[in-house]
Amino acid sequence: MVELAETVSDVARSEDRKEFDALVQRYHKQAYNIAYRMAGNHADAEDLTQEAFIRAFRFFGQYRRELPFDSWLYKIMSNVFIDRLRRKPKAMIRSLDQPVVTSEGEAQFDVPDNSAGPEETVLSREMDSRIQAALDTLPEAFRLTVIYADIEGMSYEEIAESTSTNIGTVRSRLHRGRRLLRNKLKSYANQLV
Amino acid sequence: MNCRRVVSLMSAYVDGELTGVEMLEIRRHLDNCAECAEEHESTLAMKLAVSRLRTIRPREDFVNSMLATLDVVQVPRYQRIINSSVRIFRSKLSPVAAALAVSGVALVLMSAGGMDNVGQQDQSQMVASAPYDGQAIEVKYVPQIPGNPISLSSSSRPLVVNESGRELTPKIELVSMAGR
Repeated sequence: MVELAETVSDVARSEDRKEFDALVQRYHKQAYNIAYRMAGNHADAEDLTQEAFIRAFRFFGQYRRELPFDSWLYKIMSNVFIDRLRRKPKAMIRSLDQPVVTSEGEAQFDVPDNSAGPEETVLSREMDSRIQAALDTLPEAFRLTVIYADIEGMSYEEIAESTSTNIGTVRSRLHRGRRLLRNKLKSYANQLV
Repeated sequence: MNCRRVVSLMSAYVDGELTGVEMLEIRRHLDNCAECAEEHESTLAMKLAVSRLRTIRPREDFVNSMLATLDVVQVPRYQRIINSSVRIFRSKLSPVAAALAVSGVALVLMSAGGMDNVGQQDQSQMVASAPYDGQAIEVKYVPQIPGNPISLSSSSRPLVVNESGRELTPKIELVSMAGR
């Protein structure tokens, strides 16, 4: 029984790998964007994305092909994000507007930009950084729910499924998460629209 | 619907995640309540601002480095077998039957040492090939009778069997101490 299952497993593995590689190519950018918004920096976004895909690869044989891959991936990502970010020590949060004091005087903090060209900029970079900094202060579950709802445009039902919770909890997390964001960004309210 | 209720539902309202009746009630309320209308504007603005954040893209070679990492990812043997079994059973069987079958495979794997890679000798082979060298134990049991001490003794003798392996002289002897 074990030998038969292993033989079948070997054949399935190479087919799975080809299929999985194609899915990585297709979904990695979407996953990375969510990971970045969850983590707030590129290094952690890479770790989170990679960890999510590795975990998905390990369980790929159990993925039901009739369901959308991204829904399944989001569920795995949610677990990875919450696990990893909770274990990670809190990063020091600093304001991007705050000048950096050096031995030669004050300088402005420079944010490396890995995004595409300026045509994709929909908010000013300054505002983008402020919102990201506010997102970073939200509890992980609230942050993930806000990102799924407002960046990914997922329905409450989809979010509930992806975060293994119920719709009532999703509603509550969004309500409270958005209120916390608004409070953080109160002084920039007139620039939000 | 009062202001407190409207505010508590505002986030779900801007997401269109309320019932038709609730949506209509809130819309009507907002037409007549400046404070809640402001709350609505503010919630909507927050939602739009987050939705308009730039899409952050990974570095160009990130996907290749991730695929290279997958090359060295070791999927444990038991996990691979369970994965394959789930796939096969799912395509052929009903979900309940598939779940039962997968549980069966998992049990087989665990009993075969698949979970921890610890090899186990096939004990049934060991038993079958063991030299046949038996001893029959003769047990003497004395039933407890008031006034008699309990006596239980045993002695061994060579076991004699016929061709079918049945013992020829099974012997249970009841001994009464009363007669001794």
